[in-house]
Amino acid sequence: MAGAGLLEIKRRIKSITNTQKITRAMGLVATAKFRKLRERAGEIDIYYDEYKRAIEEMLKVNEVEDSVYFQQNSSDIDLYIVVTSDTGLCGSYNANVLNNVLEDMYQKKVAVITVGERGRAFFKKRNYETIAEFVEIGDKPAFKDASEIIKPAIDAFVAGNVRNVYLAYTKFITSVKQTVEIEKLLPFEKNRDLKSSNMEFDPSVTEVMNYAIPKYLYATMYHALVNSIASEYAIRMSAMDNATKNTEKLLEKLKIAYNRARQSNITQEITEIVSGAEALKE
Amino acid sequence: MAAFNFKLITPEKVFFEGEVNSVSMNSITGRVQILANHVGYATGVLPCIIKIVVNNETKKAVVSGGFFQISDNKGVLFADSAEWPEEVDIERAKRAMERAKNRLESKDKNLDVERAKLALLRAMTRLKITEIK
Repeated sequence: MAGAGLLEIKRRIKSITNTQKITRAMGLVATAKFRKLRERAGEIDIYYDEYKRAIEEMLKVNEVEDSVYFQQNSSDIDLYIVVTSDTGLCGSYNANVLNNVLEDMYQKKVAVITVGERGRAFFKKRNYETIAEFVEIGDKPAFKDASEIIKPAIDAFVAGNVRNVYLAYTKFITSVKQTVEIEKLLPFEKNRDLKSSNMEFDPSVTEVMNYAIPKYLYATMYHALVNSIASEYAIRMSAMDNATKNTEKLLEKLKIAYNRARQSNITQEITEIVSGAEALKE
Repeated sequence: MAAFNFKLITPEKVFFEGEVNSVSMNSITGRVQILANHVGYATGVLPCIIKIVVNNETKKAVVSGGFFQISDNKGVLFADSAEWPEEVDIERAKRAMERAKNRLESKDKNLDVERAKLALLRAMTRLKITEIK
Protein backbone atom coordinates (compact mmCIF):
# COMPACT_ATOMS: atom_id res chain seq x y z
CA MET A 1 0.00 0.00 0.00
CA ALA A 2 1.21 3.50 -0.84
CA GLY A 3 -0.60 5.09 2.11
CA ALA A 4 2.62 6.32 3.74
CA GLY A 5 3.46 8.62 0.78
CA LEU A 6 -0.07 9.96 0.88
CA LEU A 7 0.19 10.85 4.55
CA GLU A 8 3.49 12.61 4.07
CA ILE A 9 2.13 14.78 1.26
CA LYS A 10 -0.92 15.59 3.37
CA ARG A 11 1.32 16.71 6.22
CA ARG A 12 3.35 18.97 3.91
CA ILE A 13 0.22 20.54 2.50
CA LYS A 14 -0.95 21.32 6.00
CA SER A 15 2.35 22.90 7.05
CA ILE A 16 2.59 25.00 3.87
CA THR A 17 -0.98 26.20 4.32
CA ASN A 18 0.03 27.40 7.78
CA THR A 19 3.09 29.19 6.38
CA GLN A 20 0.88 30.79 3.79
CA LYS A 21 -1.41 32.11 6.52
CA ILE A 22 1.56 33.75 8.23
CA THR A 23 3.02 35.32 5.09
CA ARG A 24 -0.38 36.56 3.99
CA ALA A 25 -1.10 38.14 7.39
CA MET A 26 2.37 39.74 7.56
CA GLY A 27 1.87 41.10 4.06
CA LEU A 28 -1.46 42.66 5.00
CA VAL A 29 -0.05 44.24 8.15
CA ALA A 30 2.92 45.61 6.20
CA THR A 31 0.64 47.09 3.53
CA ALA A 32 -1.49 48.90 6.09
CA LYS A 33 1.51 50.29 7.96
CA PHE A 34 3.37 51.16 4.80
CA ARG A 35 0.70 53.64 3.68
CA LYS A 36 1.06 55.69 6.85
CA LEU A 37 4.84 55.47 6.83
CA ARG A 38 5.09 56.73 3.28
CA GLU A 39 3.23 59.90 4.27
CA ARG A 40 5.58 60.47 7.17
CA ALA A 41 8.59 59.99 4.93
CA GLY A 42 7.18 62.72 2.66
CA GLU A 43 6.76 65.16 5.56
CA ILE A 44 10.26 64.80 6.97
CA ASP A 45 11.65 65.10 3.45
CA ILE A 46 10.43 68.72 3.31
CA TYR A 47 12.08 69.64 6.61
CA TYR A 48 15.30 67.82 5.82
CA ASP A 49 15.66 69.15 2.28
CA GLU A 50 15.05 72.76 3.37
CA TYR A 51 17.48 72.40 6.25
CA LYS A 52 20.08 70.90 3.94
CA ARG A 53 19.67 73.82 1.55
CA ALA A 54 20.07 76.31 4.43
CA ILE A 55 23.20 74.56 5.70
CA GLU A 56 24.68 74.47 2.21
CA GLU A 57 24.05 78.20 1.96
CA MET A 58 26.18 78.66 5.07
CA LEU A 59 28.96 76.39 3.84
CA LYS A 60 29.89 79.16 1.42
CA VAL A 61 30.98 81.40 4.27
CA ASN A 62 34.69 81.34 4.96
CA GLU A 63 34.66 81.41 8.73
CA VAL A 64 32.54 78.25 9.10
CA GLU A 65 35.70 76.22 9.35
CA ASP A 66 36.28 77.52 12.85
CA SER A 67 33.30 75.54 14.09
CA VAL A 68 34.08 72.38 16.05
CA TYR A 69 32.08 70.30 13.55
CA PHE A 70 34.58 71.12 10.79
CA GLN A 71 37.74 70.14 12.67
CA GLN A 72 39.72 67.09 11.62
CA ASN A 73 41.07 65.16 14.58
CA SER A 74 43.92 62.72 14.98
CA SER A 75 41.85 59.64 15.82
CA ASP A 76 42.07 56.69 13.41
CA ILE A 77 38.60 55.27 14.08
CA ASP A 78 35.62 55.59 11.76
CA LEU A 79 32.22 55.44 13.38
CA TYR A 80 29.25 53.90 11.55
CA ILE A 81 25.63 54.34 12.54
CA VAL A 82 23.78 51.40 11.01
CA VAL A 83 19.99 51.32 10.73
CA THR A 84 18.43 47.83 10.52
CA SER A 85 15.12 46.27 11.54
CA ASP A 86 14.14 44.52 14.76
CA THR A 87 12.44 41.55 13.15
CA GLY A 88 13.03 39.35 10.15
CA LEU A 89 10.58 38.34 7.42
CA CYS A 90 11.56 41.38 5.39
CA GLY A 91 13.47 39.86 2.52
CA SER A 92 16.91 41.22 1.79
CA TYR A 93 16.42 44.51 3.70
CA ASN A 94 18.94 43.86 6.48
CA ALA A 95 21.39 41.90 4.33
CA ASN A 96 21.55 44.80 1.87
CA VAL A 97 22.44 47.35 4.54
CA LEU A 98 24.93 45.11 6.33
CA ASN A 99 26.73 43.99 3.16
CA ASN A 100 27.13 47.55 1.98
CA VAL A 101 28.44 48.64 5.37
CA LEU A 102 30.94 45.78 5.55
CA GLU A 103 32.23 46.68 2.12
CA ASP A 104 32.63 50.31 3.15
CA MET A 105 34.36 49.34 6.39
CA TYR A 106 36.95 47.23 4.58
CA GLN A 107 40.45 47.73 6.08
CA LYS A 108 39.33 50.54 8.38
CA LYS A 109 39.44 50.69 12.12
CA VAL A 110 35.79 51.02 13.02
CA ALA A 111 33.24 51.40 15.80
CA VAL A 112 29.49 51.07 15.37
CA ILE A 113 26.22 52.40 16.73
CA THR A 114 23.47 49.94 15.88
CA VAL A 115 19.78 50.61 15.46
CA GLY A 116 17.60 47.51 15.36
CA GLU A 117 17.98 44.02 16.80
CA ARG A 118 19.23 42.50 13.53
CA GLY A 119 22.16 44.89 13.30
CA ARG A 120 22.96 44.50 16.99
CA ALA A 121 23.13 40.71 16.74
CA PHE A 122 25.17 40.89 13.54
CA PHE A 123 27.92 43.12 14.94
CA LYS A 124 27.93 41.44 18.33
CA LYS A 125 28.56 38.05 16.74
CA ARG A 126 31.54 39.48 14.87
CA ASN A 127 32.95 41.25 17.92
CA TYR A 128 32.80 44.80 16.65
CA GLU A 129 33.30 47.62 19.07
CA THR A 130 29.86 49.09 19.76
CA ILE A 131 29.43 52.56 21.22
CA ALA A 132 25.67 52.32 21.63
CA GLU A 133 22.82 49.97 20.74
CA PHE A 134 19.21 50.89 20.12
CA VAL A 135 16.46 48.32 19.69
CA GLU A 136 12.68 48.42 19.44
CA ILE A 137 12.42 51.92 18.10
CA GLY A 138 9.06 50.81 16.67
CA ASP A 139 7.52 51.98 13.47
CA LYS A 140 6.70 55.46 14.69
CA PRO A 141 10.01 56.93 15.82
CA ALA A 142 9.85 60.32 17.53
CA PHE A 143 12.23 63.14 16.72
CA LYS A 144 13.62 62.69 20.21
CA ASP A 145 14.53 59.05 19.47
CA ALA A 146 16.60 60.24 16.53
CA SER A 147 18.44 62.83 18.61
CA GLU A 148 19.19 60.23 21.28
CA ILE A 149 20.65 57.83 18.72
CA ILE A 150 22.97 60.35 17.18
CA LYS A 151 24.08 62.14 20.36
CA PRO A 152 26.72 59.53 21.31
CA ALA A 153 28.18 59.90 17.81
CA ILE A 154 28.38 63.69 18.04
CA ASP A 155 29.92 63.45 21.52
CA ALA A 156 32.51 60.93 20.37
CA PHE A 157 33.45 63.15 17.45
CA VAL A 158 33.69 66.34 19.50
CA ALA A 159 35.77 64.54 22.12
CA GLY A 160 38.17 63.45 19.37
CA ASN A 161 37.55 59.71 19.82
CA VAL A 162 36.50 59.15 16.21
CA ARG A 163 37.63 60.92 13.07
CA ASN A 164 34.64 60.33 10.75
CA VAL A 165 30.98 59.59 11.37
CA TYR A 166 29.01 57.74 8.71
CA LEU A 167 25.32 56.96 8.60
CA ALA A 168 24.09 53.85 6.76
CA TYR A 169 20.39 53.55 6.01
CA THR A 170 17.95 52.52 3.30
CA LYS A 171 16.61 55.44 1.35
CA PHE A 172 13.00 55.15 0.30
CA ILE A 173 12.50 56.23 -3.31
CA THR A 174 9.34 54.46 -4.45
CA SER A 175 7.51 51.39 -3.21
CA VAL A 176 9.54 49.27 -5.63
CA LYS A 177 12.85 51.11 -5.35
CA GLN A 178 14.95 51.55 -2.24
CA THR A 179 18.70 52.11 -2.11
CA VAL A 180 21.25 51.74 0.65
CA GLU A 181 22.97 55.05 1.37
CA ILE A 182 26.16 55.58 3.35
CA GLU A 183 26.44 59.27 4.13
CA LYS A 184 29.34 61.01 5.77
CA LEU A 185 27.97 63.19 8.57
CA LEU A 186 31.06 64.52 10.35
CA PRO A 187 33.28 66.41 9.95
CA PHE A 188 31.57 68.92 7.70
CA GLU A 189 33.54 70.23 4.78
CA LYS A 190 33.45 73.72 3.46
CA ASN A 191 32.22 74.02 -0.08
CA ARG A 192 35.12 75.58 -1.98
CA ASP A 193 33.52 75.62 -5.41
CA LEU A 194 30.88 78.16 -4.58
CA LYS A 195 31.37 81.89 -4.40
CA SER A 196 31.46 83.19 -0.88
CA SER A 197 28.28 84.83 0.38
CA ASN A 198 27.98 87.92 2.55
CA MET A 199 25.58 86.48 5.07
CA GLU A 200 25.35 88.05 8.53
CA PHE A 201 25.59 85.82 11.57
CA ASP A 202 24.19 86.64 14.99
CA PRO A 203 26.31 86.62 17.12
CA SER A 204 29.07 84.80 15.17
CA VAL A 205 29.49 82.18 12.47
CA THR A 206 30.91 79.65 14.88
CA GLU A 207 28.16 80.07 17.44
CA VAL A 208 25.37 79.86 14.90
CA MET A 209 26.97 76.81 13.29
CA ASN A 210 27.46 75.14 16.66
CA TYR A 211 23.78 75.75 17.36
CA ALA A 212 22.42 74.79 13.94
CA ILE A 213 24.52 71.72 13.14
CA PRO A 214 23.42 69.40 15.98
CA LYS A 215 19.81 70.15 15.07
CA TYR A 216 20.62 69.46 11.44
CA LEU A 217 22.18 66.14 12.43
CA TYR A 218 19.08 65.21 14.46
CA ALA A 219 17.01 65.97 11.36
CA THR A 220 19.35 63.85 9.23
CA MET A 221 19.05 60.96 11.65
CA TYR A 222 15.27 61.28 11.85
CA HIS A 223 15.09 61.43 8.08
CA ALA A 224 17.21 58.26 7.87
CA LEU A 225 15.06 56.46 10.46
CA VAL A 226 11.76 57.30 8.80
CA ASN A 227 13.16 56.44 5.36
CA SER A 228 14.55 53.11 6.60
CA ILE A 229 11.29 52.11 8.22
CA ALA A 230 9.29 53.00 5.11
CA SER A 231 11.77 50.96 3.04
CA GLU A 232 11.60 48.07 5.51
CA TYR A 233 7.85 47.83 5.14
CA ALA A 234 7.97 48.25 1.37
CA ILE A 235 10.48 45.39 1.14
CA ARG A 236 8.55 43.32 3.66
CA MET A 237 5.40 43.88 1.65
CA SER A 238 6.90 42.58 -1.59
CA ALA A 239 8.81 39.79 0.18
CA MET A 240 5.63 38.54 1.81
CA ASP A 241 3.75 38.88 -1.45
CA ASN A 242 6.36 36.75 -3.20
CA ALA A 243 6.34 34.22 -0.39
CA THR A 244 2.56 33.92 -0.58
CA LYS A 245 2.76 33.42 -4.35
CA ASN A 246 5.42 30.74 -3.90
CA THR A 247 3.33 28.86 -1.36
CA GLU A 248 0.41 28.95 -3.79
CA LYS A 249 2.54 27.40 -6.53
CA LEU A 250 3.92 24.80 -4.16
CA LEU A 251 0.47 23.91 -2.88
CA GLU A 252 -0.80 23.42 -6.40
CA LYS A 253 2.04 21.01 -7.18
CA LEU A 254 1.53 19.13 -3.93
CA LYS A 255 -2.19 18.82 -4.56
CA ILE A 256 -1.55 17.28 -7.97
CA ALA A 257 0.99 14.89 -6.44
CA TYR A 258 -1.50 14.04 -3.70
CA ASN A 259 -4.32 13.32 -6.13
CA ARG A 260 -2.04 11.26 -8.31
CA ALA A 261 -0.91 9.18 -5.33
CA ARG A 262 -4.50 8.77 -4.20
CA GLN A 263 -5.59 7.73 -7.70
CA SER A 264 -2.82 5.16 -8.01
CA ASN A 265 -3.78 3.80 -4.58
CA ILE A 266 -7.37 3.33 -5.71
CA THR A 267 -6.33 1.79 -9.00
CA GLN A 268 -4.10 -0.64 -7.20
CA GLU A 269 -6.85 -1.63 -4.79
CA ILE A 270 -9.32 -2.17 -7.60
CA THR A 271 -6.78 -4.29 -9.49
CA GLU A 272 -6.24 -6.34 -6.34
CA ILE A 273 -9.97 -6.86 -5.79
CA VAL A 274 -10.65 -7.65 -9.45
CA SER A 275 -7.77 -10.09 -9.69
CA GLY A 276 -8.92 -11.64 -6.40
CA ALA A 277 -12.44 -12.09 -7.83
CA GLU A 278 -11.02 -13.52 -11.06
CA ALA A 279 -9.06 -16.04 -9.03
CA LEU A 280 -12.23 -17.13 -7.16
CA LYS A 281 -14.17 -17.69 -10.44
CA GLU A 282 -11.71 -20.25 -11.59
CA MET B 1 4.17 97.27 3.18
CA ALA B 2 6.91 95.23 1.64
CA ALA B 3 6.50 91.54 2.20
CA PHE B 4 8.73 88.49 2.15
CA ASN B 5 8.20 84.76 2.04
CA PHE B 6 8.34 83.09 5.44
CA LYS B 7 8.20 79.42 6.35
CA LEU B 8 8.06 77.84 9.77
CA ILE B 9 8.86 74.13 9.48
CA THR B 10 8.94 71.43 12.14
CA PRO B 11 9.92 67.79 11.61
CA GLU B 12 6.22 66.88 11.67
CA LYS B 13 4.81 69.43 9.25
CA VAL B 14 5.03 72.78 7.53
CA PHE B 15 3.57 74.86 10.35
CA PHE B 16 3.26 78.18 8.55
CA GLU B 17 4.00 79.36 5.05
CA GLY B 18 3.15 82.63 3.33
CA GLU B 19 3.96 86.24 2.51
CA VAL B 20 4.52 88.23 5.70
CA ASN B 21 5.49 91.82 6.57
CA SER B 22 7.58 91.04 9.61
CA VAL B 23 8.59 88.27 11.99
CA SER B 24 9.88 88.73 15.55
CA MET B 25 11.66 86.11 17.64
CA ASN B 26 14.26 85.63 20.35
CA SER B 27 17.67 84.90 18.91
CA ILE B 28 20.57 83.68 21.06
CA THR B 29 21.58 87.31 21.52
CA GLY B 30 18.16 88.92 22.02
CA ARG B 31 14.85 89.84 20.45
CA VAL B 32 15.06 90.46 16.69
CA GLN B 33 12.53 91.62 14.15
CA ILE B 34 13.00 90.62 10.53
CA LEU B 35 11.55 92.86 7.80
CA ALA B 36 11.40 92.39 4.06
CA ASN B 37 14.61 92.72 2.01
CA HIS B 38 16.75 91.82 5.00
CA VAL B 39 20.36 91.12 4.19
CA GLY B 40 21.36 87.43 4.32
CA TYR B 41 21.20 86.52 8.00
CA ALA B 42 21.37 83.41 10.18
CA THR B 43 20.89 82.89 13.89
CA GLY B 44 19.94 80.37 16.56
CA VAL B 45 16.48 80.77 18.03
CA LEU B 46 15.62 80.21 21.70
CA PRO B 47 12.26 78.90 22.95
CA CYS B 48 10.04 81.98 22.56
CA ILE B 49 6.81 83.48 21.36
CA ILE B 50 7.14 84.29 17.70
CA LYS B 51 5.13 87.16 16.23
CA ILE B 52 4.17 87.05 12.58
CA VAL B 53 2.66 90.20 11.03
CA VAL B 54 0.60 89.83 7.86
CA ASN B 55 -1.27 92.94 6.63
CA ASN B 56 -1.41 94.55 10.08
CA GLU B 57 -2.74 91.36 11.55
CA THR B 58 -0.54 89.76 14.20
CA LYS B 59 -0.30 86.02 14.67
CA LYS B 60 1.42 84.53 17.66
CA ALA B 61 2.83 81.06 18.11
CA VAL B 62 5.18 79.37 20.52
CA VAL B 63 8.29 77.69 19.17
CA SER B 64 10.67 75.55 21.20
CA GLY B 65 13.94 76.68 19.75
CA GLY B 66 15.49 76.24 16.37
CA PHE B 67 17.46 77.89 13.66
CA PHE B 68 16.53 80.85 11.45
CA GLN B 69 17.95 81.87 8.11
CA ILE B 70 16.95 84.46 5.53
CA SER B 71 18.46 84.95 2.10
CA ASP B 72 17.04 86.40 -1.14
CA ASN B 73 13.95 87.61 0.73
CA LYS B 74 13.07 84.04 1.76
CA GLY B 75 13.03 83.33 5.48
CA VAL B 76 12.92 79.86 7.00
CA LEU B 77 12.66 78.97 10.68
CA PHE B 78 13.45 75.35 11.50
CA ALA B 79 11.81 74.70 14.85
CA ASP B 80 11.90 71.55 16.96
CA SER B 81 8.19 72.08 17.56
CA ALA B 82 5.63 74.87 17.12
CA GLU B 83 2.12 75.44 18.46
CA TRP B 84 -0.62 78.03 18.10
CA PRO B 85 -1.89 79.36 21.47
CA GLU B 86 -5.03 77.21 21.37
CA GLU B 87 -2.97 74.07 20.79
CA VAL B 88 -0.91 74.38 23.96
CA ASP B 89 -1.55 71.67 26.54
CA ILE B 90 -1.53 73.80 29.72
CA GLU B 91 -1.46 70.87 32.16
CA ARG B 92 1.46 69.28 30.37
CA ALA B 93 3.37 72.57 30.28
CA LYS B 94 2.78 73.05 34.01
CA ARG B 95 4.07 69.57 34.77
CA ALA B 96 7.11 70.15 32.54
CA MET B 97 7.81 73.41 34.40
CA GLU B 98 7.67 71.64 37.78
CA ARG B 99 9.99 68.91 36.54
CA ALA B 100 12.50 71.39 35.18
CA LYS B 101 12.40 73.45 38.39
CA ASN B 102 12.95 70.36 40.53
CA ARG B 103 15.85 69.30 38.39
CA LEU B 104 17.50 72.70 38.67
CA GLU B 105 17.06 72.71 42.43
CA SER B 106 18.25 69.13 42.93
CA LYS B 107 21.98 70.07 42.90
CA ASP B 108 22.71 66.84 41.08
CA LYS B 109 26.29 66.93 39.83
CA ASN B 110 25.46 65.06 36.63
CA LEU B 111 22.72 67.53 35.77
CA ASP B 112 22.83 69.04 32.30
CA VAL B 113 22.10 72.58 33.46
CA GLU B 114 21.75 74.03 29.98
CA ARG B 115 19.22 71.41 29.04
CA ALA B 116 17.18 71.89 32.19
CA LYS B 117 17.18 75.66 31.72
CA LEU B 118 15.97 75.28 28.15
CA ALA B 119 13.23 72.90 29.31
CA LEU B 120 12.13 75.45 31.91
CA LEU B 121 12.16 78.22 29.30
CA ARG B 122 10.08 76.13 26.93
CA ALA B 123 7.47 75.38 29.56
CA MET B 124 7.31 79.02 30.71
CA THR B 125 6.96 80.28 27.13
CA ARG B 126 4.11 77.86 26.52
CA LEU B 127 2.29 79.05 29.63
CA LYS B 128 2.91 82.70 28.79
CA ILE B 129 1.25 82.49 25.40
CA THR B 130 -1.92 81.04 26.90
CA GLU B 131 -2.11 83.93 29.34
CA ILE B 132 -1.77 86.81 26.85
CA LYS B 133 -4.23 85.41 24.36
